[in-house]
Amino acid sequence: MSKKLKIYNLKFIIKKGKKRVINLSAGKKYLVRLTERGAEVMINCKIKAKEKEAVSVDCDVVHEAARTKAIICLKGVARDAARIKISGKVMVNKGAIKSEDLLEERLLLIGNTAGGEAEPVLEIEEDEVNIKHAASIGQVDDWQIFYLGTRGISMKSAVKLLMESFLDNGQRE
Amino acid sequence: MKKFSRPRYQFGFHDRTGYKNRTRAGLDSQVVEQISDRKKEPEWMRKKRLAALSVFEKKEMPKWGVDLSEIDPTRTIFYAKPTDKDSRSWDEVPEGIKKTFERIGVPQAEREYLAGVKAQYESEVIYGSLKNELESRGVIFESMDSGLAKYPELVREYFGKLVPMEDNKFAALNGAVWSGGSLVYIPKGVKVGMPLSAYFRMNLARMGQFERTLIVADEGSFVHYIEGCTAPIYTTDSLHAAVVEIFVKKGARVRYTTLQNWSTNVINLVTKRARVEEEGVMEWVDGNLGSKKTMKYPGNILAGRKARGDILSIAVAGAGQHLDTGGKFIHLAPETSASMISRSVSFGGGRTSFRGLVDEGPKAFNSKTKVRCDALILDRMSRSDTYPVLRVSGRGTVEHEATVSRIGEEQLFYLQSRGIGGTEAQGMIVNGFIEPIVKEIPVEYAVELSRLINLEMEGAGDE
Repeated sequence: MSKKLKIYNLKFIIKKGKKRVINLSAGKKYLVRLTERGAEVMINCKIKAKEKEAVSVDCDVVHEAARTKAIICLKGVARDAARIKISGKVMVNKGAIKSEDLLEERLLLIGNTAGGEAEPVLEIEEDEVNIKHAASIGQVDDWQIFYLGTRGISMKSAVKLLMESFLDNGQRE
Repeated sequence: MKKFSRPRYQFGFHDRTGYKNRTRAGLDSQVVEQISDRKKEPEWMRKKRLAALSVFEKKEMPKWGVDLSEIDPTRTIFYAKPTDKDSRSWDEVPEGIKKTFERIGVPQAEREYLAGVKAQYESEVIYGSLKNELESRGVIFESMDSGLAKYPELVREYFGKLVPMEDNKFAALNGAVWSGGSLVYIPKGVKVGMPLSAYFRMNLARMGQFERTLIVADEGSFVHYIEGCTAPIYTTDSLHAAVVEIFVKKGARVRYTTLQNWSTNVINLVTKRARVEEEGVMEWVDGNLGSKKTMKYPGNILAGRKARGDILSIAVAGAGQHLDTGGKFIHLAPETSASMISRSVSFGGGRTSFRGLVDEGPKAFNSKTKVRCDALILDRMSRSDTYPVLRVSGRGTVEHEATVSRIGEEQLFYLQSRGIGGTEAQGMIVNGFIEPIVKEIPVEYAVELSRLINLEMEGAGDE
């Protein structure tokens, strides 16, 4: 298969038995390689975009050895006419048996003109693995805003609260 | 270490048939004109074919998806016709061809269940029957060639409107050399109770099949169209590039079931697309078992308010196979909804890829999409990929979930403790894995599918 040559801004190599937490920042392309047995990584990302911003983040994780583990949680909130693009890719090479991976991509759109794009890609060449991914793009729940409204919280701060909780929820330290 | 191998292809036989009309191998304007001449087509169709040919020549081979470098148009025969005229009754069908059909079970399916069978042998429909009842209700179910002769206005109105020849290289190829396929028109409010079925079959080495299907379901109508195929095995590569266009009008519902079991030397490149108007429903049931390489992504253009699209898809890839399947949803109107369930199994060095597109445009207020794709990998030689793209601009929601795993040790152990061992257990688990989709397929096809999967697992061998 033809492999596109990709230029990364930042590269990480995680070695034997090491654990790392990586926080991604917007607009960059990342490559994370789990090169030795038992390497673990947690990747978090929170992006906020407003007005006419167009923000993207791109993260590739490669499982190169057995029993490697990655938890990837990429989140973004777009408001006004902003656009967010999240691309995540998990590759499991031959020999990376018993590797585990959860790739999560969540986008929250506020207002009628915000836009979002999610690409959760998996390429798996080994059978004894446990790989999952989930992605969603959605709006703020009107019922939640209504509920907060009944508690005397204004629409504006209710949206803000929900936004913050959306970004914090599920992030691992 | 487990080793999976594919048993000898069950339908890998072929019989000798006198090919009265066929073009020479290769493709140029002369060949295209020859096809058009033999079909005695109207001038506009001839022009369309020639225009499509020039598009095909200009476009480059797609660089994504499966590796297509082995396709060589100069060695492909683009048109062949086994008998001269369309035959209406079963008795008139030539003996040799009949024998082939009997071995793959067409007559039974026809007698017992199906309203009308259009059996495609080679590039042209040679056998067709339509129940009088359907005819009297105004339903049109013709081969595309005779449909063009009988209803030129209908064909002209819809042909190439959904999949224009500029769409992709193989849609252009189909536009230039298409022959066979079906023309279906369901009038307003008519609900066809029994599925309409077409059987496709290729029987000549290095011969491409380029059928063209057009389905128009008028307001409030319903039709279930079934397409199933088996083909004999050959050493040289065959090319299959079909185009299917479906128009679902207001409040209509169309279900399109495909059971694809091409032999493992066929390259299967299909463009399928439906346009769904207000409150219409389009359902695709897509089973991909055979072929060497497949690229197929049924597309749904949800153009009217509350339009709905559903895709259920299975891919089973064994040794040497690469099945690149998936689906597309383009939401253009408010309150449209879509769902997709995909299950893929790869074994013995096979590769499955899921490729999906969900695009909810700025006008798609409160539209919803749910995509679920699961993959099962049976051994270390096999591979599975997932390439989804989700895009929302405005007030839509998309959910996507996927898992990739192997057969659970606990499941195998449990079955073994009940006395079901090795391959039988594996076949059972694989059948269970794809069950949500199989149950949507008419019963005799479901039986065939389950049998085929067991057959493939049989070749798998114990640990």
